[in-house]
Amino acid sequence: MIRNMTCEKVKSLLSAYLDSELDYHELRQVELHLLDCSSCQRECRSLRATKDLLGTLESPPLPGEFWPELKERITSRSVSRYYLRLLMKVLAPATALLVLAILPFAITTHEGASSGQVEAKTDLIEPYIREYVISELDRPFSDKTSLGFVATAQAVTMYSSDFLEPHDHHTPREAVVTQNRTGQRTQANAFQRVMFLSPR
Amino acid sequence: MLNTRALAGTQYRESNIEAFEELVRTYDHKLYRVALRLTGNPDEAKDLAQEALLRAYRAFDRFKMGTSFEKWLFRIASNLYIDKLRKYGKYRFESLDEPIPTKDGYVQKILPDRTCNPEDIAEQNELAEKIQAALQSLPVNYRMAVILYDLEGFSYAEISGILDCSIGTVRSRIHRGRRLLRKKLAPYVYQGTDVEVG
Ligand SMILES: [Zn+2]
Repeated sequence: MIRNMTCEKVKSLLSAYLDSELDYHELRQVELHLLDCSSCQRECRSLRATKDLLGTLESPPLPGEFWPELKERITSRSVSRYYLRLLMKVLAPATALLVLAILPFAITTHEGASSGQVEAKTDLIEPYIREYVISELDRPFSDKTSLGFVATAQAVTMYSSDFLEPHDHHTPREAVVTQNRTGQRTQANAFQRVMFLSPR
Repeated sequence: MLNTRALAGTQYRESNIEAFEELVRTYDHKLYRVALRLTGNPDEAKDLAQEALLRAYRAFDRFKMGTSFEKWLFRIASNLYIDKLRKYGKYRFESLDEPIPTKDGYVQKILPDRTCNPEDIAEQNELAEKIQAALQSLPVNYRMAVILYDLEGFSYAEISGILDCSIGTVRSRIHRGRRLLRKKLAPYVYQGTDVEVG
C-alpha cells in the first residue's frame, strides 16, 4: 500500500474525517492509511469515543422565566442593571410629561405671545399622538423613553414647519431669528433630555 | 418560519416584540443551551442568551434579509461572550479533580432525570459534571467550535460564519478541542472503546 500521508498528517485530519468534513481527495488518503495503520486506528477510535461522550449530555430545558424577563429587558431597554431599570421607570414618564409641558412654552416664546395663550397651544401636539403617549404611559410594556421621543419628534416637525411658513408679518426679521434660536435651543435641550435617558 | 417582513414592517414596539418573539422562538432554546455549555452556569447562560437576543432585537434593522438569521444570532451571542470574557476575565474554572459545587442545585437543573434509579442518576450527573468541567477548561475558541458542532450540529461552514474564521480554522479548533477533551476525560474515553474504525 502506498502511503502518501504521514501518520501526523492523518491524525490531524481525523476529527474532520469523523465529521464527514474531508474533501474527496483527503478522504481517500485517510481511508487508505487507516486500513493498515493501527496507531492511527487507535487515535481515531479514541476521538470517536470523545465525540460520543459529548453526545451523552442531555438538553437542559429553557427556564420558564426566560421570555417574561427578556420582554422586561427589551421594554426597559436596560443592560442588565436593575437600578437603571428602576430609575428609568421613575424618570422616563416624568420626562415625557415634562416634554409635553415644555412644548407650549417653547412655541409661545417663538410667537412672542402672552402666557395666557399657553393652554390653548397645547393642542399643537397632534391630539392622537398626545392620547397615544398618555395612554401608553399606563401600559406595562410600553417603551417610555421612545414615547418621550415620539412626542418630541412630533413637536420638532411642527415647530420647524412653523418657521417655514412665517405667519407673523409684523415681527422684524432679526427678532424672528433670535426667537428661532431660543426656540431651537429649547427643543434641543428637550431632545437631549430624552436622548440622555435612552441607553442606546 | 422566518417572518422577517412582519418584523420590519411593524410600527409599534409591542407588536415589534411579538413579531420578534415569533421569529426567534425557533432558536431561543438552542441559544440557551449553547450559552449554558459555554458558561457552565444557568444564571450566566440565561443572562448571555437574553442579552444576545436583546442586541439582536435592537440591531434588527442591520440584519440583511435573505441571509441566515440563525447564523447572525449566534454570531452576536459568540461575540458577546468573547467580549464579556475579555472584560471580566474567566467566569469560573473548575479542576477535574475537584467536585463542582452543587449547593445551588445547578446540576439538577441541567440534567432532567430520565431514570428512576438513584444510582444511575448519580452516575449520569457525575459524568455530565466531568464533561461540563472539561468543556470549561478548553480555550474559548476551541470550546465554542466543539459546542457548536458536537452539541448543536452546526456544519463546519456554518461555524466558520458564526465565528468569523476559515473552515480550516474551524477544523483545527474542533480537532484540538476534542484532543484536549480526550485527555481530560481519559478514564471515560478509554473504557470500552471497542469501536470499529470506519
Ligand atoms: Zn498512521
